[in-house]
Amino acid sequence: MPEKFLTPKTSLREAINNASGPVALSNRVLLQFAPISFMLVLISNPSRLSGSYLEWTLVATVGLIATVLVLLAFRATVLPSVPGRKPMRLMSSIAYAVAGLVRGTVVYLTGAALGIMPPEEFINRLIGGPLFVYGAIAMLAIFNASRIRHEKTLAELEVEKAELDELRGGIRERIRLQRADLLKRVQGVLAPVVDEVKSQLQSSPSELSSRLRDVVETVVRPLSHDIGQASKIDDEITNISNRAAFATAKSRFPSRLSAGAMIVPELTFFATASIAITANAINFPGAVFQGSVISLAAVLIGYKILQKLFMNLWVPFVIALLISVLGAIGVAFFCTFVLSLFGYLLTPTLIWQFALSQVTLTLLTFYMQFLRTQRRDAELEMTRVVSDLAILNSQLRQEVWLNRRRIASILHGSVQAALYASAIRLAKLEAPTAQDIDAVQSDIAAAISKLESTDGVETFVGVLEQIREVWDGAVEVQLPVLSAELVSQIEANPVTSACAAEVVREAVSNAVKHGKAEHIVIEVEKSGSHLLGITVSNDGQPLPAEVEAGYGSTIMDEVAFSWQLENRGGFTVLGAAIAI
Amino acid sequence: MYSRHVVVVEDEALLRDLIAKTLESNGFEVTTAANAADAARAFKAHDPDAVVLDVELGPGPTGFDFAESLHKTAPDVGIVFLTNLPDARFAGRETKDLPTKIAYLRKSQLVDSNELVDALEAVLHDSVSGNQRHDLSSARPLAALSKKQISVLQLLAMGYTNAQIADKRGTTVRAVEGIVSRIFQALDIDVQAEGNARVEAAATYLRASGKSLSDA
Repeated sequence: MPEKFLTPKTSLREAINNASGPVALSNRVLLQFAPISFMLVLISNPSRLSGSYLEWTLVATVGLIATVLVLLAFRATVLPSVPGRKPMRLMSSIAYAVAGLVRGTVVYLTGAALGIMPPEEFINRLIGGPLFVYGAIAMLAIFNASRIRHEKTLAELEVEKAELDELRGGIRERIRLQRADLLKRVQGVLAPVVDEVKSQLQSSPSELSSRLRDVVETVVRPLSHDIGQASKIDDEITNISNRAAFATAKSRFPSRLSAGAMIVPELTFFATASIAITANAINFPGAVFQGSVISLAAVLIGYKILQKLFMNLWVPFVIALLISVLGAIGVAFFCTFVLSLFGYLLTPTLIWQFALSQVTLTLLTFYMQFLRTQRRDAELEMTRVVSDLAILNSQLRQEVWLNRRRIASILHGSVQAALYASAIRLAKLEAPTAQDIDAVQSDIAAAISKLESTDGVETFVGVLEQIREVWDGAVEVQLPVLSAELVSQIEANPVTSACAAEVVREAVSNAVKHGKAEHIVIEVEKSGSHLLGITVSNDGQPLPAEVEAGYGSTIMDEVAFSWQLENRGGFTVLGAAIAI
Repeated sequence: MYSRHVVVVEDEALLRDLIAKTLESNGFEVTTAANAADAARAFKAHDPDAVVLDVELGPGPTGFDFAESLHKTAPDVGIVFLTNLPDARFAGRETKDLPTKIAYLRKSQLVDSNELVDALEAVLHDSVSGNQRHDLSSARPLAALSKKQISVLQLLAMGYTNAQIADKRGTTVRAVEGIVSRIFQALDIDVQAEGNARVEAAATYLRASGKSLSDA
């Protein structure tokens, strides 16, 4: 089943805001206004009044120039076309009214000078001019604002997505190289230590013991930190997270559209009003008000019915377009029919002109809605990208943390233990035998080989059980009942498993240490496709702010996707989400 | 005939066995445990007199967690911490939070195994002396700093800016600047001198916690 693409609704408020916003008087809008302006004059006049197309083209040209000059004057003074300017409704309305009045007057005077404009047309031109300017500019402003936003979104998407992909791949590669490099360094540095032990075994035992202690202090500990140290990777991951907030996703061609959502009754009504009132003033000079009310009501109702009728009809682009065009023709005939019921009859030419204008307006709104659909899809996709990157960010953090802990703990643990044990053992000996030498060498070699081993990693369930056993008798720890499926999901990823275990351990430890809890309940559940929710509730006191912001929170920040501490129903509850 | 029973909790088998042998040769009955949960089971089974306890025990509860639990269930058990950590602050704990009448020995200071036996005897007889508390030694690294200062220094060493530290601690940048300034003072770092005082402070912390900057 093809994916459905939701189309955002368009409101009258949005139309007015765009008509009074910075895009409305942009060069692009004023240029697009020109053909509409010519079209209106050439469609509605030559067939009705006398005069040639050439004469009416001259009238239309003068009318357009006058209108644009007035609008440019407003733009240069009180309505700057600066991106980000807030809508100025009153001033914009005044500008359109003035431009419309000037337009009507100039059109009338030019037509009169050419002898093709009857005197009774003057009042109609004064009414129609402002309505036409307002309606046409509003339509074009919405159309362009939508397109500008859309283009901006797409541009940001292209750049950000490419950079994020590159960065993500780079980080993964760097983690891999980091670990390989560190292991190499660990072994590279420890190998001489082993040789040192071997050669020093020929000297006196006490000196050797002292030497080994120096080795521990000067080699193993610094080396251990080299691995354990927070790397630049953390900063890069932070960068991804910040940039992802601005990232967008690629624009897709909608496979299924709501045919009804592509129809915008309010906008078509608004645009029709700017033409119809003028037309009615011409067609029904004695009943401009009644004719306008009837025709506009019919237009609004007609489109509303169409919108409702086809709202849940999900069809391919072409079908949706066809429905919109046929719908516009249908509304034109419906309107003509309603007008005829009240005795207002239109000539075939007028009916044709009316239908053509409705199709034109509908195509414009359709195109606008199409772009808005794509934009919405891009925004939804952007949200998903941000979410995915946030998860990735968390997972990479987990990986870095675990690498750090794993290698550092091995060094602090096995290698140091081997060296300490050797030092202690040798200190007791009067004269080490060949077996003693072998034992020392063997111990250290075994400790080094453990660096590359992943054996002995504790499972999540194992750690939970450990926690319960350790606190048994002191604090009652209630473990979660985990399904086999969830356990296998958690333990399929050692990083997730270790991080989840660390969160629980830290939470329980803090609850006992700071909260003096006596009863602790641990709950674990999937809280999304990529998140594991861990809740640790206790009946102790809430953690002091300085504790919350202290050591424990640093661990939480590193291993958890998100976490928070709150009081809920007398319990202190730590909630954490782990990327899985 | 053994007169005292000790549980040795150490996740490294080599060191664990060595400590066990050392204690056995000094007249202690020894049970070993590789982690805190093993130790808890050993306590239930043997009700020992004392425990030799490492702090870092791999995944799962730490030695401090186990000591906290022991403090509630068996407060009369003697505890000897045997660890790499200079003091409790390096694991986010306060020294005052630790049970009293404990001994705290650093592994790096423990070439002479008699020191461990002496510490065990001391905790069993409530006669712990100052030299059996390496975590209180004025010579221990960063002894002059408070837990809060250690915590801030730790974040600073991890490369966080003052603003990020303030965000993490839920305080103002100004407050962090004050703490950092006092840390520099305590560590005798000349902020006017050439070089980066933060790098020097971080290096000092890392050295103190048994670590170092890779380029230091």
